[in-house]
Amino acid sequence: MQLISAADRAYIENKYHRSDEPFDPHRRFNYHGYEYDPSTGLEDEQMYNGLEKLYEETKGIDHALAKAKAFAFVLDNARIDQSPHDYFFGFYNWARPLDKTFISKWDKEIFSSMPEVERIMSLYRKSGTAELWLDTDHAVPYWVDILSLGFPGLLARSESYRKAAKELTPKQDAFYQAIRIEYEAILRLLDRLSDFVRAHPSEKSDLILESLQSIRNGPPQNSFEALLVIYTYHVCSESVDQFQVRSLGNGLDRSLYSFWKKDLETGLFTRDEIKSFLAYLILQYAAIGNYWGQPFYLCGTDYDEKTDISELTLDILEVYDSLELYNPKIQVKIDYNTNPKIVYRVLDMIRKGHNSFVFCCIPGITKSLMSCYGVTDEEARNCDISGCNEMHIRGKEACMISALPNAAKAINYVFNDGMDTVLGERLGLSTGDVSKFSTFDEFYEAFIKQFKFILDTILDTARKYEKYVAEINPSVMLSATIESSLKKGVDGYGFGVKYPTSSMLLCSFATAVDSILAVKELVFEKKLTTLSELKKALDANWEGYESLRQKALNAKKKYGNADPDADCYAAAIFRWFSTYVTGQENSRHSVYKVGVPSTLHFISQGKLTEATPDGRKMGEECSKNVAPVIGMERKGVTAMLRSALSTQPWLFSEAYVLDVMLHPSAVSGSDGLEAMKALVDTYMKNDGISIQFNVFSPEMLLDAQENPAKYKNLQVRVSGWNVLWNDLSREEQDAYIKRASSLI
Amino acid sequence: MEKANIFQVKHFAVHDGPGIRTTVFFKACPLKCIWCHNPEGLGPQRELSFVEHKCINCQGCISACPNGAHYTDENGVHRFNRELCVSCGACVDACYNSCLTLYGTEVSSDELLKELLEDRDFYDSSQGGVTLSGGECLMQADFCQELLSKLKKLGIHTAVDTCGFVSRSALDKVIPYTDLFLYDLKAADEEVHIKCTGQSNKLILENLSYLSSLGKPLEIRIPYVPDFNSDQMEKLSDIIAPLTSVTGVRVLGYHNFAKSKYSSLGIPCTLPERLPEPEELEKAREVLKVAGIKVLE
Repeated sequence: MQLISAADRAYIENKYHRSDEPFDPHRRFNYHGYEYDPSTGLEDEQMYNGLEKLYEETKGIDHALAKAKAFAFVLDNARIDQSPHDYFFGFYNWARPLDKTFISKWDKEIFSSMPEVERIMSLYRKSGTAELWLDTDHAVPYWVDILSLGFPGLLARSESYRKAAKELTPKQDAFYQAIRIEYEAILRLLDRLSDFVRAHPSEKSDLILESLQSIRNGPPQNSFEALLVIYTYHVCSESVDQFQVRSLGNGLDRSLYSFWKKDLETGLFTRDEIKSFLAYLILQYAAIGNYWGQPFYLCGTDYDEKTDISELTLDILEVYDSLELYNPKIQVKIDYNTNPKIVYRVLDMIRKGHNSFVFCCIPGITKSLMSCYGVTDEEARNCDISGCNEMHIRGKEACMISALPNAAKAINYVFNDGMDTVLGERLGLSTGDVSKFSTFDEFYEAFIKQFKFILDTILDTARKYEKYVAEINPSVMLSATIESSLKKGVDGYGFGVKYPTSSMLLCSFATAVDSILAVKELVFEKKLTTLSELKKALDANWEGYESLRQKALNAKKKYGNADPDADCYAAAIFRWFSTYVTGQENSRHSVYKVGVPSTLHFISQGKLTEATPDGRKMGEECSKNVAPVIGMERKGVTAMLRSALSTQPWLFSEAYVLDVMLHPSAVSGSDGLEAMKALVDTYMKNDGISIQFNVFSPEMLLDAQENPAKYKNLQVRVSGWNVLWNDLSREEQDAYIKRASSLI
Repeated sequence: MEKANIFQVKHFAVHDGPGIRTTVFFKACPLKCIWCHNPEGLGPQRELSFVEHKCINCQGCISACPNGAHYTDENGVHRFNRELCVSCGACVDACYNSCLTLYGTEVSSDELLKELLEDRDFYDSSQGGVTLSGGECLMQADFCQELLSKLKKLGIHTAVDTCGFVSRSALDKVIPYTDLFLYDLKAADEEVHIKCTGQSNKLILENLSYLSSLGKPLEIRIPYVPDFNSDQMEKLSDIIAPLTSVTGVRVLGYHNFAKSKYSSLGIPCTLPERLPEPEELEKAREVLKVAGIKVLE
């Protein structure tokens, strides 16, 4: 059965930006798709002028309330559309109009009152020492309530909490008012859409109209209505309320399952019809083309282990596979009792080049979340996978990723007595002249001191700004889905959830480890050089020291080869980082936790990281996630897995992800599929958390580099992000080719 | 305690028997197949491989070599005189760009077992195990017997990859401890076999039927080399079809990836030029299928 016609697909692909024009996902808000009927709303300039005027009028009132008014203004005045080619409506102003007009102004206002915070954030960013930011990008609403109550139900629940409160502070009053204003605006938008559909009948309009009216008046009643609610929430939250929705459903399959089952039982829809609706929904996110990739997760095991949702999971995978997309990206939560058909299906898709998947292993997740911040077994097991592979307690956690520290910079600072040579400023600690260190222990201690100083500075700085998150970007729509927030009358993302945690994601881990190992081996064990000479070589970016550099690059001890000595240092540094940061208080009455996805910072921070003793030159990329430095895993994938697992993944309760690159010949045939499955199983059994694969041969990547037109859909998985091969820079492509070349 | 002479231990071998395996490559082979892709396993002697283009001229090998086999020419560039090399391996450790590799390491079964057990978790997850290959592992049958019996005691699946040109007594030593034989068949006609490998296939075919008569699971592997043994498929299928313990046959298309190995070992390259076309391989597999033989992909 054809899930979507070519004409309908072409329409959706042009909905958000013209598919025949060059598209830069990083500048995606600058685009519009086709023109909408002007009579349905304001043009961009009028919209922005209206919002500017509203900003002036709302100055001085509570930010949640001001934001809600602006939100309502956009929803009431945005151009809308319902194409005969689509089941999901069009919303013209999806480019976050509140950003320029409200949120960035509040951001500026608050940060400019903390000049020291701004100074450190700026210095750390410019030097590549750490990325600090106010993260509102990792929210997952509590879909269980959204789908069981619907928009009117969420509004009514908030109102009943407001009425039940004996006394409201002005802040609490504004909180409830804001929710009312936003959710009433959503209902008006649904009315406007109904009117539009009524006036523009088409083959699909009966179903659409009936569904719009149904979800306007109550919770969704069937699969299509559930998908329409998910889509509507996503549009309003991401595009207007400016909170990324980092999963579609608390497990798209799980959230949809009861509707799907009922529809099949009553005969309302056939299985193929629901697959078709899913195809239309999934294509929306592919067409929007956010550079981070719209995530949603599948699978997982119910806490009671009674519900087998795998038939629907397989349907969703089939739809996704048939569309041949790379965005959205899908996390697959697996446990020992996950239906193996699902795992095989995903692995087969991966080896065919479909790299938009990450496996998230429930045993490791449970151990990690329960051990690191004391959540219950049920909370841990049912956690959401948010964003790339972050683990957040469903409906109870809002984790701000406050910073991404670069461990390799601590190495740089040891060699330069705390001076940052990129900026010419002392950003590290003075640990003395490295050439005077007479033992390896002195060197190692200096590294720990530098690293600790960076972490302390981050914690001190982040605590000063993270508490203002609800002032800068109040989470109005999200708060209405979080019952604990409604009970307290406080912002959900800021403080209202049970676990308003913060986290740090460690970058350049293996680069730092290999640098320490190189110093130990070359300077202190084999005495092939001295710290003084090594410092000169690093200062010269290895120019004139090629022979020494080769020795460093080819040092015998490298992380990633199951070498006990090397892995001992890797584990020590990892555990030290984790135990130092985990449990530290944040300024939102909760704690810090840590993760190890380096997102794309292994490239951007690498550009600013001076030469390192492992043989890396200034500007070259650093290691990513928990993977070894590119090309340094010399003993194959099993040794690499053993090295990674020796670091004790469960200490990383925000996220822990290992990248595995395999040569196509290793995964061909049924032997290859079984081997991939065994890698996943072994990783899971040993408390591994997330694992993702890329299956490439160097020949294919070289061909793709030379013939981009032939490989328009070739995707790679980079630290949890899916990107098209052709969107990577030449140097990023080279890094991938280098890695693929080291596989045999 | 026997010591083995091996030249490689390959982890994550996924096409040498079921599951994820570790394959041990034993040195020395009684055949001299012209298409051999492991020339470093042909002779029993230790051999130094030098990949010249990777040399960074660090000259660590020059000071390490006691025999002057590594030296610099008039331009200060590293050179290697194989005639002076006694394959002591002193230069290998000193080489910082992995251009020098010594093939031929003596190892005890306990030392090897320790390394093989590192991937135990992966074997367990995949119903994988350990494969002994080469060269011809059964030229060191006593050691294989010792190692395989230890592996079996630990409940690990074992496979032996053999060319079959071994004595019956060598075969008998490992039979009780081997779960699967990966058995190479190169040609049905004796003269073709002699032309391709330097030896008759009589013993190989006898051993094959012996193993089959014992009911030992056999996976047959046929290297397909155009213009050499490509006309043998029908006759080979006649030999294989009656064997009851054959689990499947794998037709391995000849490749010439080993070319650079020959030059790095300083031995003449015997590799044929022509590679098989995909259609030829498909046709070869079809011949087997028509004879009712299970063909493994």
